[in-house]
Amino acid sequence: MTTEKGLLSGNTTMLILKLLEEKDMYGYQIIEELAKKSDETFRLKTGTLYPILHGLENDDLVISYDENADKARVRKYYHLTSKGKNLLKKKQSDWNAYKNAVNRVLEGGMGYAIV
Amino acid sequence: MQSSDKISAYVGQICEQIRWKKARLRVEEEMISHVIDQRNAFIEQGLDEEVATEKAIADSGDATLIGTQFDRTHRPKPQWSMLAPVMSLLLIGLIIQLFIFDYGDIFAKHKLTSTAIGIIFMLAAYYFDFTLFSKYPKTIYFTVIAISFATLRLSPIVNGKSYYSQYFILLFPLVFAAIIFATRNKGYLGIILCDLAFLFQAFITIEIRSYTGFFLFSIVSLVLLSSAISKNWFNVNKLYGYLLMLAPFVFFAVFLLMNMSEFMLARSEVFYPSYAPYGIGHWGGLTIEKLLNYANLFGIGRMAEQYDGILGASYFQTDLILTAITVRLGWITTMGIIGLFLFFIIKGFIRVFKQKSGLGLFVSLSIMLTFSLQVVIYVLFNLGFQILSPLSLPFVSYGNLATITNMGLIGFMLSVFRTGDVVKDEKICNKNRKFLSWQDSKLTIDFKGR
Repeated sequence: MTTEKGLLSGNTTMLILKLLEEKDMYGYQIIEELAKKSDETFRLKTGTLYPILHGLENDDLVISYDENADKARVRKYYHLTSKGKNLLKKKQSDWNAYKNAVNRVLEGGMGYAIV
Repeated sequence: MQSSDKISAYVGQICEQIRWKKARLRVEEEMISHVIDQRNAFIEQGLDEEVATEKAIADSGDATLIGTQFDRTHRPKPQWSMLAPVMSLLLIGLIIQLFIFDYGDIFAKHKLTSTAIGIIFMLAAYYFDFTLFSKYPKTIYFTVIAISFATLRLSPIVNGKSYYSQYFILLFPLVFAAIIFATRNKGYLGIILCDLAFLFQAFITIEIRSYTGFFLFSIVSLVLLSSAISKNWFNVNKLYGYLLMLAPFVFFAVFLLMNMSEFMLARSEVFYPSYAPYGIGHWGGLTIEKLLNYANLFGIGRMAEQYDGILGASYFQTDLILTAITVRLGWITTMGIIGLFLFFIIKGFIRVFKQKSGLGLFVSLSIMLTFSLQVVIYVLFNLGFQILSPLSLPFVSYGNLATITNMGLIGFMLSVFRTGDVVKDEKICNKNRKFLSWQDSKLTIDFKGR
């Protein structure tokens, strides 16, 4: 199953930042890595990924640099900045809170605590 | 159609949707690379090139839709938060000069006219494509030098200085930044060329007899060259680069010590004015101190009435407006004005160091430093530390050429902040481009530069 629309609700940025936390990547590589890691559940469209990457760069959350792919072509790699790392932390914690809340509802509305 | 043509046509369609043309360059190369990566992956899976290209384009998505998404992301950044303090300072300058101190109708008319022309210059520079500056560095450099020489010959001499030429010095750091940009990757030769450009300009500032201008230009040049070397702009060993950079500065330091020691000794009297009450330091140490001692926190100072004659002198309007404001309106007003300058300077430097291109960095850094040093020299002078004569307190003090030049410079810097994000040094270097060219009996002026 490939999910695209569900991702557009706001978590795409978190997934992109998470991938870039591991290593610097170029756009096509991000699409392939995300698809691989999610068993093809998340395959980003070009029109979704690149405007997000450019927006992140405008906000200084990532920085880009060029590296030669071959003699005639350069690839733009993206690197996560410390500001980007902080945003990722916040997005992850928001996501965990959201996920736990959904789980609690699905499990019958019972609260639980780990002791 | 060949596969590379198909990819170019597809990416071209994407770029057409982006209204901000400058941003298209940033998108174009990356999208072509993306489709080629996708096509190569299909070829590896066993498809032939033509089918792989078509599938890669289809997989990338609808060009118009993608272009529209990019169009939403790439917009010039309006600089309202930087324009607001500039406009406030202009307004303060106008109110103070027109209503608080009565310097006469002619001065009021001049102040209004120069402010109006300055606003036109600032807005024109704000919407100007600053990358054009990088395409004709030599033309710009020698034009400014030629104008400086012309004014040097034509301008009246006031207080020993070539009066109008001294304000052209405000443009010197910016044109020096153009030379730094033009010498990218030229190795040690690049630094030597920058040194020569510096020496040439520094000699003109000495010829103009503006030691403030010389000091300001030297400091800004030193910072610009240092930042270029630290960014590996010339592609040289950094230590040797710094040493080569320092050569002309050391030369001038020795030159000044040998020729100007008497002048500098006299100027140093500002530090012990009571020892030399009739020396150059007299004004700085005694009169300003006396005036400021009587200033209140709010409102008119206790001795202001006796000093009204002095405060109304044109000397205060140009060089001591802050002292006059402090005595007449109190320290709080002065602190408010200095606060506005600080706000602008801090915000400005934060944006300078966010510049992604060398061109954006050098242009904005040169203007920000020129602006800040003028403010620092002016404020120190008005507090009694009169080591260097001030050029102007940008936007506030009286001075037609200074107002227009400073506003034009600030507009140009804001143009960098507005559009600098999409500028790449590699893309704008075009060595063979000529601003003016003559061919087939036709004179061509290339404003577009592309």
